[in-house]
Amino acid sequence: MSIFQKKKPDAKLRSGMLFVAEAGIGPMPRQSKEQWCLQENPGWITPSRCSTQRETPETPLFSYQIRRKMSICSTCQRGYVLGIIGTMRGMVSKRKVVIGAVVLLFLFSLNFMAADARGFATSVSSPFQAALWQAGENISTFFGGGNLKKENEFLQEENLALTQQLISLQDTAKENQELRNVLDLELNQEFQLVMGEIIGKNLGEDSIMIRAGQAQGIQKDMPVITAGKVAVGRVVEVFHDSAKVQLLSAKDKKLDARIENTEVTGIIQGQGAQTIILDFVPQEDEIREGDIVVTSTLGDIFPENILIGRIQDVIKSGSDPFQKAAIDHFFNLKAVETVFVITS
Amino acid sequence: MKRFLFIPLFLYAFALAQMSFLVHFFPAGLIPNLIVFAVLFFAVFEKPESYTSFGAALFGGLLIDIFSGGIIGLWPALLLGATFLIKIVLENYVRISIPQKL
Repeated sequence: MSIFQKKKPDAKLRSGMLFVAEAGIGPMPRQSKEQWCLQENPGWITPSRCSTQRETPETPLFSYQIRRKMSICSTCQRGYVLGIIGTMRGMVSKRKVVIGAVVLLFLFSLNFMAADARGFATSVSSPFQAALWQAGENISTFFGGGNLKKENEFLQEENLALTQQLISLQDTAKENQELRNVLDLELNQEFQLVMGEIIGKNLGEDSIMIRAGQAQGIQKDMPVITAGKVAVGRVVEVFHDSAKVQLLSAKDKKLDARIENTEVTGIIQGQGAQTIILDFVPQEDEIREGDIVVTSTLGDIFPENILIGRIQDVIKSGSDPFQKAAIDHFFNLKAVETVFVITS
Repeated sequence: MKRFLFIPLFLYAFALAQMSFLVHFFPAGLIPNLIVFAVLFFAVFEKPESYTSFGAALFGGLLIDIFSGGIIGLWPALLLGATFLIKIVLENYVRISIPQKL
């Protein structure tokens, strides 16, 4: 039923009818005073002892207008409400609904000047907002540990910046140490060197990329060594600021070598996977485990006496005219970060 | 007459507190909407024949829209509807406990 229509009176409820209201949720039960009194006091025959005392008018908004009488049963001394159905009232009046609708329309019309309306409200409220904001900030700072929170945030940021600086300085320190090693070994007096930082590794091809290229005077086939004068490999590709270095262990690559302090010569042969062997050593020449292998004068890439590795295992075969030896390469790819290219 | 002065001021204070004071204490922007709570409170606890909650709904909704940046009129309509609904439920389905010992 629409709220704008008058509610039709219930057929059972007529003006002048008496009923008793009870507590609870839901429609009120229709029960006469006599019925209620007899129900509460089963021994009585007539409820004539129940009498009325005063009247309490009440006008609810959405239901029947009811005149209620608050009464006390003189015998049982229990209170009850005697209700009389009065004139039925209508629901919310049309006038109030129209007023509400007009106000809503006015509010929606404010959208056409929303900026002005908001600007006005903000300008009026800004002093109070500023005061409340400051108060809120002071209280939250007080309960949040005063200035400790801000100080903590500042220190955390500073810590991050210092950590970054530390990493950068550590790299510089390493570089300095490498250069000092070169100076200690007086390598710079023997050769002209260009330092190149290892920036990439291709273990499948046994090659590395270094940060030194044409701009630094690097050319193809130049030998590469470490600060400890250990042979690394040779330059196979040159770019403007970088170069690719093929390691000694690259498969099927060969290098002339000899045993240190002897005239025993052989060929260093790459086996791939960073392993090298010394091959083509005549059977009659004596080689032992622990012997140091260095580059020989016969080679056309590396200068003489550049360290290669140490003999680990000697492999002799009866039918083969040559003996072989497994070499423990001094160059450790995992440990070295900087190499030197011999430019002359 | 006093309620026509105090209730708008009350709601205005709630709006300012919500925007400028409570922001510091509720992280991630989850600030309780005090104006809505106030309007619903009026709707539930005022006398059945009173219309104060409707006025509070209109004014409170206007404040929310002005300070929030949404369409002006949306929140007044919503709060007005909610107040009306509460009134209907209270009148038709809730009774005061009677009889009682006098």
